[in-house]
Amino acid sequence: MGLLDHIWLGIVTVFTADPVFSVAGLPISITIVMVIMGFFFGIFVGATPGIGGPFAMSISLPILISIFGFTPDALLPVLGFLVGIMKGSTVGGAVPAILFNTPGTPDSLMTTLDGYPLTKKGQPGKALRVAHFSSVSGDTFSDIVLITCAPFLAILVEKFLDFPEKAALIILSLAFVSAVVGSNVWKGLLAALLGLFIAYIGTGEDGYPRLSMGSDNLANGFPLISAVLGVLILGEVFKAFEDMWREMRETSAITNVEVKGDNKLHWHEIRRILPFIGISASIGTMVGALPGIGNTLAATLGYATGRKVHKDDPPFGEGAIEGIAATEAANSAVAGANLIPVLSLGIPGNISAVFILLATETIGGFNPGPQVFRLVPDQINQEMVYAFGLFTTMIFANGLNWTFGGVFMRWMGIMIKIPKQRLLPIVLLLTLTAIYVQQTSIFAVYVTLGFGFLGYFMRKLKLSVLAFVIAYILANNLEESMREAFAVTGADPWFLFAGPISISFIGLAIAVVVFFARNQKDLS
Amino acid sequence: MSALSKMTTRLAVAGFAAAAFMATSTAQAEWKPKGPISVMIGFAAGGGTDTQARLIAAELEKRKGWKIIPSNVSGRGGSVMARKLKKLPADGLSIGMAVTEPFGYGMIATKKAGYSLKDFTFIATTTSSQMGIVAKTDKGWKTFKDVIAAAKKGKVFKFAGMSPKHADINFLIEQKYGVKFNTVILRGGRKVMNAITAGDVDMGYGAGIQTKAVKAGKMVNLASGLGVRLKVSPNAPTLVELGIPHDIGAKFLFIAPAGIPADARKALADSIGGIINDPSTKASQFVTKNYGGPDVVTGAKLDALMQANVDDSKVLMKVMN
Amino acid sequence: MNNQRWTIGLAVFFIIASAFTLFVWIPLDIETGVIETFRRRVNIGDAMAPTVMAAGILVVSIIMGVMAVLRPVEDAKSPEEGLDRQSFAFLLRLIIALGAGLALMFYTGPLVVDLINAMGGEIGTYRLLKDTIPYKFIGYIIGGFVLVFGTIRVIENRFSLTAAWVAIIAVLVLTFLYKVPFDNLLLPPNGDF
Repeated sequence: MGLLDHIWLGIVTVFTADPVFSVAGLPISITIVMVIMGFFFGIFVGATPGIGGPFAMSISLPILISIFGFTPDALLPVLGFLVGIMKGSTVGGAVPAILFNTPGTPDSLMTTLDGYPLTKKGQPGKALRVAHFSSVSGDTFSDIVLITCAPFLAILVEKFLDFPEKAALIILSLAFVSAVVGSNVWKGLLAALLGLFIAYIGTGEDGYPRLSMGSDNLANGFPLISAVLGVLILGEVFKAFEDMWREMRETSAITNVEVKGDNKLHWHEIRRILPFIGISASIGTMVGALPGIGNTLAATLGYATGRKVHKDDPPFGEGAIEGIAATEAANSAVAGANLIPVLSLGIPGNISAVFILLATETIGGFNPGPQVFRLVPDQINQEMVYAFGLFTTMIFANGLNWTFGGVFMRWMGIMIKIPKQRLLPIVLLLTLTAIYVQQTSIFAVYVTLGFGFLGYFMRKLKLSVLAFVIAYILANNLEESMREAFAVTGADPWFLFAGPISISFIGLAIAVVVFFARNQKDLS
Repeated sequence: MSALSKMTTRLAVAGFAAAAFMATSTAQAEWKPKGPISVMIGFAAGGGTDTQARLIAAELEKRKGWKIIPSNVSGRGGSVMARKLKKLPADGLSIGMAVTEPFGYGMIATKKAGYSLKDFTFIATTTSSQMGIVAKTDKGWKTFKDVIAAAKKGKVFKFAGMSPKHADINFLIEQKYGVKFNTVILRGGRKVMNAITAGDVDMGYGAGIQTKAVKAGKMVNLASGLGVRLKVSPNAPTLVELGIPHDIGAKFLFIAPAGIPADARKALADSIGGIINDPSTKASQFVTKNYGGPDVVTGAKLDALMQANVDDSKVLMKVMN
Repeated sequence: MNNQRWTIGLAVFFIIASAFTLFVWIPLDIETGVIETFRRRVNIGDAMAPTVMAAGILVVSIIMGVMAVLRPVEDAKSPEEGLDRQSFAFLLRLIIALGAGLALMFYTGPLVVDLINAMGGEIGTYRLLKDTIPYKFIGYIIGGFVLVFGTIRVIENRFSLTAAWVAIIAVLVLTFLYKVPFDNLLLPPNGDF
């Protein structure tokens, strides 16, 4: 059986297996239904600050498995729903970022920089259209790369990354983020170091959770979701509260955004943003193919590169549609490419990929690894059929995204009609509820509020929130890969400098910090 | 002598604090929870423990009409959940699902574990891990003896484990055969599998997660970590056969705070055991497919098992010091 | 006035905090050292990562402080940093609103149950009723209402009937959103009982 037979079988399985009902004589399969449901659910959760794709995936997976069971038939419907959430939440995540300056997920943080100024100018519709177009373009590009080069790329990447190189790569990412984001390299570094330090409270290898002062509540550290959502969402909400409160005292009215002027996306504008989409989609795809880095860094890199390339008015940060395009294309391009290491090696690169992997693990019949793409003469490689089935669901979800995604996403934008001083308190309650439901402990709510005030102070004192959050997320990966590299090299204290790749990563990290520290005046 | 009082007597012999409470309990009718039962799962959503717990919970609701509310309290291989559970009321309305490890070696090897066996009533095990030493098939090794032969020639292999216990076992192997490994402890079985697949390590410990890959011929169990040989790999020798007298297998189990009423313990154990042992349930199919199949131990036998687990860990600790 | 005073203050705070962490907190509250020889195996201990980070914070905040002192008021028109008196006045109000909402969320249910029991209701403890309507929603709905309405009240600085309606509808919608599709999820405070 050749490659084409497998592709065809994959497509046929998605569209015809287990039809649930038929429309005009055409049977609609359960997988298709699940992709559609997952997709719209994904846009909804993405557009709702405080929930986001990974959270929706984590509560859906156990429910899906209890509905569909563990037979291989369950594989494509369950994966289809997860793929739907993944794609939907990626475009949906731009909605709160653009409309309320509150990113629904860390990777849409950079979208706020230009999206929100556009909203303030009365053009939220244009911003949403740009975000949708760029996001779907980046996503589609990334899927094409995934489908055409999945097997080869990942094997190459993994071949050159051993434990020490992984540790060095994380150090490089952190140095880069803290130096590039924000107004001041030292404040960026301080924020990153603070994020790392706080992530190390209550964690560690020993049975006694370090620095926990004996509290059982800290036995597993501060919950990741509390820290991240607290700093990102509540910090912004508190600051917005204060701004509105001040405005109310001074003028006894709050200016709410009025939709006015040009809100369409024109052909000449599409031509303007296309180069940015191209660059960012390539960056996002490359970052996605590297295991363990993820969307947030891709968005940052895409935005930073876009800012370098951009020459026209308005500049980045003042409502440039190119800024939105550069961010959204980059963070959306991660999703597809992230499945490259998942499918060819079984190693997830971000949280969404973790859930895809967990689903295949739990259900069975499909073990991601290099054998997935192996052709056996005169036989059907069922795993390859599933792989192409998965690709089919992704392409189908992209089709949905191109056709209905934009409309549905802007429809979510009716939330702009609600006055901000009424809506943001609801976002606050929603975030706290989402945290409680997930952690089932009031302590997690207190922690979230604590991180919310930290985020508020950091914004007030111009300490980079993004550097803090990325550092917090990568902290345990960093420590683990250092420990592992140290142990696996037989306690060699110079493990970071044992190979040319890790030496060059570390060298680059130092160079980035020194370079930006010396050029500080130009940046601020 | 009724089954209940027999159990009570044996418990008293085992010397558990819970026994005193149970001996006074004279409940005859089947126990019924007075409110919803919270199940705290010691691992994150979506994993093997989580899936088992939720499948069993759904079936319990269906069969018994009890209200079950599962939630995830993950961290440190289940010991975060254990610390939280031990402080909750012992009324049978708070139970937890975990593995045996944090109540054996994990508890002994830590200076401040925060709990001991006395803090819990153990309800029922569900299934057992298929603990083995695993490598990729293309390494060319058939059993662990091939690894030892290669290591004796001076090769230092990278060896991944999931807990310090595996590092101890590796040390015993090194001592016995005069070889050397670079042992690395990774967090969880999935990471070990990833490291083996990606070639970051030469071999590692797998608790059953490797079974599918072994069946597909991509990986091979070089040795069994259980007292007996593995079901999928009957040719792999056990650690005991290799001269390392330890059974490092783990079981999945339900626990409750110490001193829950004897009738509650029995009712919970009987219903959970009934579900796992019934091949028509999803829970039973799940453990058959992914682990060693149903392996239900309850009552005094379970108490003895937990104590034996602690004793063996103490022996291992003593050998090492 | 030196517009770097908040930066200097930040630097001083982190110098003191990181020094305290390095010399008091870490030695007292971590069981394993920087490098740990645990049963003949050399490993990175739990103290390594926090020590490196605390030392990094110390160094960076010294550099930041020195630079802020050496280069005061570079451009007077740079945006103001830090908090003023108004910020603290606002924070105090916000904390009162949040505190009242959360306290009601946590204690209303159990208090209502205790009250009914005290009046001879014999309905059992809150622990047994945490999945029974209406008790399981009382705390969330009343606390959530106060939290949303209270913060709107703080921001708008006046009572408004529509704000009350917004808060009531929001809290009811959220209750349905979580409880109807996912019967097994626990709303606050029910996971703590």
